[in-house]
Amino acid sequence: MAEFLRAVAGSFIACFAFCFILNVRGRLLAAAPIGAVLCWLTYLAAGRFLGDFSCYFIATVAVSIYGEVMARVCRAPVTVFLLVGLLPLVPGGGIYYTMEYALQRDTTAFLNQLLTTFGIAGCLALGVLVVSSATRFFSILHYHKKVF
Amino acid sequence: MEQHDLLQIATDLASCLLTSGAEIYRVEESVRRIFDAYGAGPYEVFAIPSLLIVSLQRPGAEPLTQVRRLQEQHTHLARVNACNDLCRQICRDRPSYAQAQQKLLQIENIPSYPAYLVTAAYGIVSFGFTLLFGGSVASAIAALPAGAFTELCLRFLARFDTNSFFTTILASFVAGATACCLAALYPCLARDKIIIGTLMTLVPGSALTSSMRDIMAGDLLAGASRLILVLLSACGIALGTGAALSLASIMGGV
Repeated sequence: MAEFLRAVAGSFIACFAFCFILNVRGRLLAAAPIGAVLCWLTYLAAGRFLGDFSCYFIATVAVSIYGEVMARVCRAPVTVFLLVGLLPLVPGGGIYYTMEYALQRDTTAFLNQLLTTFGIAGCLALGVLVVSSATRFFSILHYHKKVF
Repeated sequence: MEQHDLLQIATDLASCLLTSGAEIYRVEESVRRIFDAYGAGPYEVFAIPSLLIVSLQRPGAEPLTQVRRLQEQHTHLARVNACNDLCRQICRDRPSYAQAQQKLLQIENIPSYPAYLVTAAYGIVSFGFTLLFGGSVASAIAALPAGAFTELCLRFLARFDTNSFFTTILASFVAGATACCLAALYPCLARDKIIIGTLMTLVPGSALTSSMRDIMAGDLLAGASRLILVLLSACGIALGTGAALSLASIMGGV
């Protein structure tokens, strides 16, 4: 329970404050950080069943879908939800530990961590890619249905 | 609206979108929509994060072209949102030049959050992420000043127009140095958690996401240029914190 509270509070506080850095205004100030909380909870939940990379992928897909839905509900660009919502998954820790292993001249751990960091970034990219291309596909399909 | 006024409005709107951090396809799409709404002749639009070209052909006259060389600016999502609304409104109502011009001016005057709020926000982001990544509450509180100092450093360097790579190195050095000092004073603090939490304000998450969306939408050049930015900032972060950590270990501290 303490773990759950820490996840919700930490991700909401951090991403709510991040909205001020990105100059988000109005009701998006609440909607965007909720995406980040959703993202982190999905990540933690997926972590019980799946490997590391799959968690990142699934959490990215979850927040992208949330973004696409909320963008239509709030009539705002999807970018707002993605930039804020994906922040907890960005491998800041990966960059740090890569650097630390390099300083300790532990080449094996350094390369291992470096590849993991790239892997995480790749998972984020893939997740965003899958959802945004699926959305494009469906919206084009929808458009053509109207035309024909 | 006259053709050259139309071109002016479309280019202004597009450059506002681009400098506020919108994706490339949104920029190009907005220009296309506006021209289509007014039934303007064959047109071309090309955008990458640093350049915008809009060209409009007129019947019975030579074509009109506007080229903008754009400087990198900080992300301003409220402006992106407002530009998006304005574009929709222009396509629906087809306002006169003066009206559209006035709306654009309003958008450009949307203020950023005041400096003290942004400084506090950097601190609070660091606080939240330190907590999220398993730091104790004490460590999270120590991350508050680290984040705030990072922002002050960024703000100070912004005056000198330094390039973003150098800025990132210095800012992450400040973040690392603050964390090392605090951890040396209070050994109960987790140094690595504080640094990671603070670095989350600097990591190029937005650039990574935008670059992927650009590549996905087929704007390879824009995507690649943003991807290079991502790699550079990641290297900058590693260099800056690395320098702080080695300095700390040389000084016999932690």
